[in-house]
Amino acid sequence: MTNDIVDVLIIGAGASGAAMAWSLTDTRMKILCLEQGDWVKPTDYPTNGRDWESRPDFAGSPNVRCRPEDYPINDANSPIKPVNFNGVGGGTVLYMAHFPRFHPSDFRTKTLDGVGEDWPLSYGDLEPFFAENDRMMGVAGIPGDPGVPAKEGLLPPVPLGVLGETVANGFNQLDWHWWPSESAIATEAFRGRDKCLNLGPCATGCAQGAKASTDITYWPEAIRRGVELRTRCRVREITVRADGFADGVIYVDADGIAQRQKAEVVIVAGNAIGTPRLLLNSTSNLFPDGLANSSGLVGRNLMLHAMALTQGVFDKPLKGYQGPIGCSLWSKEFYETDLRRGFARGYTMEILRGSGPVAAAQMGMATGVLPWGEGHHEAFRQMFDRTAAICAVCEDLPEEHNRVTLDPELTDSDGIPAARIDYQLGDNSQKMLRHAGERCTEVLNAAGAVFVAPTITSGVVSGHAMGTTRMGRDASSSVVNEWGRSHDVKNLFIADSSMFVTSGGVNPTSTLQALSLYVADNIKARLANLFDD
Amino acid sequence: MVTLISSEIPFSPDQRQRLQELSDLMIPASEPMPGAGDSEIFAGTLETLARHQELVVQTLDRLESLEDIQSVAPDFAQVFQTAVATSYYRDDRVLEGLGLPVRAPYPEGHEVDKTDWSLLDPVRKREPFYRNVGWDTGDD
Ligand SMILES: Cc1cc2nc3c(=O)[nH]c(=O)nc-3n(C[C@H](O)[C@H](O)[C@H](O)COP(=O)(O)OP(=O)(O)OC[C@H]3O[C@@H](n4cnc5c(N)ncnc54)[C@H](O)[C@@H]3O)c2cc1C
Repeated sequence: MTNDIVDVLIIGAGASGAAMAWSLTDTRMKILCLEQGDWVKPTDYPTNGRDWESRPDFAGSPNVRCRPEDYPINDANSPIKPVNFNGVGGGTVLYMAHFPRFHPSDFRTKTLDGVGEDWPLSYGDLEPFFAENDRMMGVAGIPGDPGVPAKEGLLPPVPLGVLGETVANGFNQLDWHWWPSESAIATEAFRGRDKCLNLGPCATGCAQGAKASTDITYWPEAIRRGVELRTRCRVREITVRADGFADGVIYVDADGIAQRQKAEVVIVAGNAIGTPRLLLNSTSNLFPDGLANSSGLVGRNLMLHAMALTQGVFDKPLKGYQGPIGCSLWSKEFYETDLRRGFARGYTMEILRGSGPVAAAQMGMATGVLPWGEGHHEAFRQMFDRTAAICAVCEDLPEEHNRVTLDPELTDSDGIPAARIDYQLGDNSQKMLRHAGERCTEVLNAAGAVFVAPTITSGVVSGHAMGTTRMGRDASSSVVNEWGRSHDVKNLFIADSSMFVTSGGVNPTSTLQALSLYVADNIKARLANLFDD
Repeated sequence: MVTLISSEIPFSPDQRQRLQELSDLMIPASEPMPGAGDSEIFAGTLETLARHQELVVQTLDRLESLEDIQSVAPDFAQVFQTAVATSYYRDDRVLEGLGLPVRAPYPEGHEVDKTDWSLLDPVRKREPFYRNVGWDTGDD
C-alpha cells in the first residue's frame, strides 16, 4: 500500500524525534512521524497499582519487556546492558529526568586532552538550543553552580530530602563540589503539567505527568501545529532512488502489513542503537553495506557510559523512596581532566534516592548486603530506607570495535533483524571506574555510612547509547556532516545521539535534544539549497 | 496480581515443591513476617520463574541439595532471588510488618521536607571551575 508523499518523514517519536518535529513546524511543511510503539496513557503507569515495582511491561530492558513493539537487543557480549522504551516519548517515558548538559570541554577532547575526537561544533553553538529545550521541557534547579556554565529560567529545585542532605554533608566534609541536580521535572505547574508529587519511581513512568517525557511536552504542541504522528508503524528499511537520494520507507503497520511511505526528506531519530540498526537493514544495490555507510562507521564507536554504582548503608532512615529517584544532587568534582588521576576526562557523581522494598531487596541481595536465611529479616530492616547509592557516570571514549551490528538470528516480532552490541570497557574507562568507586566510597563514609558495599561496574544498565553515526566534516571518518546531514545521501538526516562524537560524563538527553533542535535550525536555514554539496 | 493459572506453570509438582522449599530457605517465616514459601507469595514467584523455565529446570535437575546454591549455581541464584524478592516485598502482610504504606504511590505521593539550602553555602563560595573553553568552534 502506498501513502501520499510527505515533505519530511521522521522515524522515531522519542526525545530527539519530538524536538525535531516541533521545531520543523515553523516551515509549514507536511511532516509525518512514524513510531513503532504506542502512546502510553497516564493510567497505564505502574505507580497507579500495588504491583508498581514488578511490572515487566515497564522494565527498562526490551529483552524483559518483550512488548510486540520492542526489538530485542543481543547484549551478551557487553558488560553494560542497554535499556530504552519504544513508544511515543521514547526513552523519556522511563528516564529519570536527570538533566545535565555536556560541558564546553566535552566538545574538544582531542585538542584539550589528546583523546577521542573534537566535535565539529561547540558548546556555544548549542547554547541557544539548550535554552530552547529547557523552555519546552521545564528544568528544575538552582542557578549559580560553579561546576557548570550559567543558565537561566530554572524552576524551583527538587528538595533533597533526608538522604540528599545526608550525602551533601559528606561532600561538605571533604570540601568537594556538589549541587542539586538539574531535573526535567515540573516542581510547580508548568505548561499544562501539574507539579511533582514525589511518587518516587520515575523510571517506570510518571503517572502525575510532572516528569518531562516528550509525549507530554513536545508532542502535543507539534501535533497542534500540524505534525502527523502515526503509531505502531515500524520502519523496516529506508528506500533509495537510482540517483542515491532517499525516497521514503517501507514500514510494517499494527496489522503486520507492509506499507510504502514516500518522502522528500528522511530524518532518523531511532536512538543510537535503533538508528544504526535501521541503516544497516536498509541495503540496496547502491548501498550494499547499509545506508550512509561508505565510511564503514555506521554502528561503530558505540558509547554507553561506564557506570560505577556504590551503595552505603546508614544507621538512620533516609526516606529515600520518597522523591524522584534519579534527581537529588550531583558532583562535578572529578569531571574535568586531571592526568594525575591516571586517566583522561572524568565523571559526574549522581546521588540516587532509595528505592521501594522490591528494588531494595533485589539490589541488597545482588550486592551481598542482604543475606539468605535466618538473618534476612533483620538485615533488611537494617538496610531498607537506610541505603544511599551513588552512580558515577563515566565518560567512555569512542572506540571502533564497540559497535552495533545486526544479529544473525534474533529478530523483532515482524521478523526484522534485531540489534547486537559488542562492547568492552577501555583501559581509560577501567581506570576511571576504579577511581570513581574509591571516591564514592570515600564520600559515603564521610557522610556517615556504617557500611559501604563494593562498587559494581559490570552488569549495570545504561540508557545512554551514543556515537554510532558520528558527525564530522570528513566523510571518511564520520557518517553525517556538522549539521546532521548524511555525507552519502543528501536528503537523509540523523537527529539523535548517534551523532555524538564523544560521550561526556553526564546523561545525554538534554544535549541530544539541543543537538536535534540545532539540526532542525540548520535545515530551516538552508531550505533553499538543502541538498547542495 | 498473579495471572498464570496453575496448569500453565511449566514446572512439575516435584520441581514446584523444591522451589517452594528453597523460597523458605531464602526468606524464612518470622513473626509477623510470612516466609517466601507462603502459597500466595510463592505463586507470584513461580510466575516470574516461568519466564526462565530452561535455566530453572536444568539447575534443579543437576542439584542434589539446595544448600550452597549461591556458589554452585550463581546464574540461577540471581534469577531466583530476583523473583522471590519481587513477589515477597509487594505482599500486604510484609509491607505491614515493615510499617510501610500498603498503597500505590499514585495519587497520594509523598511529602518531602523543604531543604535548608544554607547547606550549599560552602560550595557557593567556590569560583567556577569547569574548563571554560570552546564556546566557538576552534576557539580554545
Ligand atoms: C530507565 C531509563 C532511565 C534513563 N534516565 C535518564 C536520565 O535520567 N537522564 C537522561 O538524560 N537520560 C536518561 N535516559 C536516556 C534517555 O531516555 C535517552 O537518552 C533518550 O530517550 C534518547 O533519545 P532518542 O531520541 O535518541 O531515542 P529514544 O528516546 O529512545 O526514541 C527513539 C524512538 O524511535 C523509535 N524507533 C526506533 N526504531 C524505529 C523504527 N525502525 N521504526 C519506527 N520507530 C522506531 C523507538 O520506538 C523510540 O520510541 C534513561 C533511559 C532509560 C531507559
